[in-house]
Amino acid sequence: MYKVYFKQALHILKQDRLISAISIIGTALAITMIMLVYMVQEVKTANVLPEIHRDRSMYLNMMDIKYNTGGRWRAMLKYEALKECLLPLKTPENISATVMLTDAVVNMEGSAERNTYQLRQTDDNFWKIYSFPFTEGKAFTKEDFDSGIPVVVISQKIAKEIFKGQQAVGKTIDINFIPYKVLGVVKNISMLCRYSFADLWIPYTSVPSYTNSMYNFVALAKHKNDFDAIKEEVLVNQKKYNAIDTTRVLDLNGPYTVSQMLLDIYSSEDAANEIKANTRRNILILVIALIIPAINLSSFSLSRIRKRMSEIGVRKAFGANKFSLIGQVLYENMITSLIGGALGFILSFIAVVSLRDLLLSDSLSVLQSGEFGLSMSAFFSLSVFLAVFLACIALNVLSASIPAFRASRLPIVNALKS
Amino acid sequence: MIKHILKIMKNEHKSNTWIMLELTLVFVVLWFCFDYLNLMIQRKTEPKGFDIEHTYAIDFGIKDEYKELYHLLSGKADNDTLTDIFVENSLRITEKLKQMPEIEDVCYSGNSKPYGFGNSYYSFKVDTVYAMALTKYVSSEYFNVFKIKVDKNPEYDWDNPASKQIIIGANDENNFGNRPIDEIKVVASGRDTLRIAGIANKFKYLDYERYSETAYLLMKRHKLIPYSYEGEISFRVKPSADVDFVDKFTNTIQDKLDIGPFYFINLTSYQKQKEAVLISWGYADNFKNIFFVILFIVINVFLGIFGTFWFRTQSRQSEIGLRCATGSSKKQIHGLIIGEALLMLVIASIAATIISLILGYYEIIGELGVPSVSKAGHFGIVHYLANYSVTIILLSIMALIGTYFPARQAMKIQPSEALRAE
Amino acid sequence: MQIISLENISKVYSTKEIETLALENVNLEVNKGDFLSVMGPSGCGKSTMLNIMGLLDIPTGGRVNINRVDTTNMKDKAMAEFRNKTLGFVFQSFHLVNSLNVLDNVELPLLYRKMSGSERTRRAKEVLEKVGLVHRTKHFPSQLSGGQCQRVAIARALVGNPEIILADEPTGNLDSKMGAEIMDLLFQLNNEGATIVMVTHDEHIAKKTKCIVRFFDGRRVQ
Repeated sequence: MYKVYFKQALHILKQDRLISAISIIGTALAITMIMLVYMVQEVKTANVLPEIHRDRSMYLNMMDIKYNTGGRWRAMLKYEALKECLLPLKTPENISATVMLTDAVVNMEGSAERNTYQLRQTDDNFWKIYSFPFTEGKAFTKEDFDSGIPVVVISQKIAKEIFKGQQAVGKTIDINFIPYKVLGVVKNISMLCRYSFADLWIPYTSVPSYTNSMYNFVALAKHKNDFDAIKEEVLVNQKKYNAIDTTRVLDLNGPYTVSQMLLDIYSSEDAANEIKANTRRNILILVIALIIPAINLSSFSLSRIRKRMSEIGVRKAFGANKFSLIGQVLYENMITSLIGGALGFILSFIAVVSLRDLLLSDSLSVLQSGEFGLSMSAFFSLSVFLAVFLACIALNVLSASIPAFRASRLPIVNALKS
Repeated sequence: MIKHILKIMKNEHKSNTWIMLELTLVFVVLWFCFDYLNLMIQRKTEPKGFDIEHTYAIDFGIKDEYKELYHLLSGKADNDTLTDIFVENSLRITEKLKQMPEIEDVCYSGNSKPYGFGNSYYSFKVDTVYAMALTKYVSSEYFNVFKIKVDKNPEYDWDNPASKQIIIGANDENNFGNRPIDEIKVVASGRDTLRIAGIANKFKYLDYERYSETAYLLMKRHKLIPYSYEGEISFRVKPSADVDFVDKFTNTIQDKLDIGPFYFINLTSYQKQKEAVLISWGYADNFKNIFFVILFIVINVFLGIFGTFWFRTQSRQSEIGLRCATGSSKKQIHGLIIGEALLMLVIASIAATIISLILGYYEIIGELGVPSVSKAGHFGIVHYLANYSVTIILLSIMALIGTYFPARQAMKIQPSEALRAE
Repeated sequence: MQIISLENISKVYSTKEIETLALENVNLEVNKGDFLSVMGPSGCGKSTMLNIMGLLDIPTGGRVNINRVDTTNMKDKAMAEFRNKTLGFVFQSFHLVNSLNVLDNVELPLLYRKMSGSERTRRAKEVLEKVGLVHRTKHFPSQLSGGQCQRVAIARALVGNPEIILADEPTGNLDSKMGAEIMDLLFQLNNEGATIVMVTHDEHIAKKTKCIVRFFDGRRVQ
């Protein structure tokens, strides 16, 4: 039965080449659109080395302090707030604080030739939360961090540019004119890893007046279910902190999950609205991507079915019931949908690779030069294929079912007459 | 001819209603797409009030041995001579920069660089009403470096540190707060009364925003420290020297700007800074999304209209054969078919325009969650005419292509062949 | 045994301005094994009556019984079964599916039965043999002459071994030799037990059938 439908569908496709082409292109575009949105989101939030626990992590970078005198400070996390409200957290599996990414002047000890690199000042937990691929040596330990000794982990980029390929571990480099000993070398990190990216990493305790720096905070939850509990604990600590000195009110902007962080929420009061608005936007895009092609395709389906009205009459006359007819239309349509879907999938892949800069750059990547290092696994996961397939089916049903249903209800004689 | 077309349309009106509905819907959708693009373009082409071409931001670090001292002094009053260690050396740096032949002028700003990641807003009292203004703490060269025009008042004394003067800029409606900016003589800030020294160009923080009230205050001497966001040094480079400038500068300057507690870290062009901030504010993302969505919608609409008309014309193959057989010329048949298509389009466009105007008036589109550019007062007829024209021209082209070719194909076949299909 | 009965059938076509009475008070009984010819001038409603008999159209008034089952208000599924298993219709304008080849066209009714592909093909070929077209299975209707199309349509009506065959001008497009062959086939089927109701213009052929019914202006006149 389906073989016959298939043969016939191909025959009809070939007959009406232009309309078939347009249908296929329309479907492909819809699939590409949906895939692009999905893939870009995936790339930005999927687990990738070294941020292998993004799905279990919460982040906090910004805070708001309102003073009784009327002033207001809205900027990155300050040390005092970090120390009082975030470092004491018990619910997460692990926590880490890093100073926000800064520029650093680096040169080989004693050499006048200097370069500017991106420096991240971290704690020892940083290395436990993120899984860095070391090519030489190792990271600094809790003892190193507690004592604030000047040690550094450098990227291969620096190893190449400063040590010109020789062994780097054990040697010394000047970071902002202070000598640091190289403890380890890691592979270059993609700029897409906005929380761990840098060219070199030092313990923040090795920098005097680190209590004046601005911080980024990450909490690794034992399980996703703990997210609410972590938020709760942060609020409790915040309340305690605000009770100590009533001339100021602290409002921490977070902690947020990795996908919420992409929304760049302005302040914690806006959080709920922003998240809702983002969901609305995503749904709107999905709806647009499906409904508009569906309208087009359904008008084509309608026209095609009208052309074949007498055939439908004949089939009914010989015993086809409503379901057979609707099934046949949906099945034939499915062929266009699947071809379009496959084409769309390929197109979206090409688009992400060739339009990579356009689609994936964030403020970090514009100002720096580094690698994007897309992980291909984001593309070929099962969920992606499933998503494409479901989208095809959705399009198919949306566009063909109403015309099919209406056609099947037409009395036979009327159908035969057209 | 038109009468004949109208007769056909009236008789076929049942099958035509579907296509008319489709045309109307499609017209409304395209209207809003082009409306948005129109608005964006208008906003983008408005003068920004400043010019960042050939300008750079230069970043310095503070040597570790001075860090404690710096943090101790941060925010202290200007009487403290310890700040001189920082300020004197900072001024030496800017002096050195000013002497470089490639550099036109150098300025300071406090959390006020164009397209900076941070901004400050303060309330100023105008008569009895408060106005929130984007407040910029700058040195006097700022206006020159970023080419901001200032209309100076006769008693202009703004760059005198002792004066209590302020330079202000107007919003979209040429007001500061709710008073026309020309009428304002003084504003109050905290306990101080500040006289208006001059009026600066209207200023937009970002290209797609509206003009907002701006206020310029002279930076206090003890703030002239190029570290973190509180002290920013920017300079303008001579156009002829602005080739590969970042690399050239970085390679030659090395440690020559390591003066006192400071050392040179980085040079960033304001072009790059602008890109980064647009992305970080979500503009780039937003506009990327919207642009892709609009492109998607437009392509789909075209495919749909094109296909619909193609189908329609193709199914009239036998009618075309009949007309050929009864002596109609090719031109007449084309005219008939194209005329009918365009007539339908025009009728649909009238209904669609009315619907679009109503939807626009009640701002329904924004309710759906579609992000919109902040609209200003100017919404003239020209704007609507532009929308209408672009939409109808583009749709007509699609309809035309969709009707011309199948009609031509149908006329190539012998009339008897075409009639046989009937 | 009564296999078809039409009781008080009327059919009115109404548009906004005009009401056309196609059939008025038609009563007809067909017994199992009958071979009935229906005759009358153009536009007298005989095709309409055949359509109603074949459950292709719904009468404005009256009842259609097939195998003593009242088909008024029958649900779609049940009607479909009837059309598939009990009835076989031959249309005046063939109504072949242009995008299917001859074999697939003939197999069409069998698609809606539970049958394997090979069984379908076998039966289709069998019946194509009977109409003399088994060598044209791969051809498409656009490649056949009118007479050949007619024969395919007949084959399609026969392939399911229906109890009742309804034919609207089955020999209309055939030359006398071919027409005679088709009539022979129909007579043979009738002998084997099929009930046949045939609309025709041809007096000559009609005389050979068991019974003639005449229509005029929507009414039965004999």
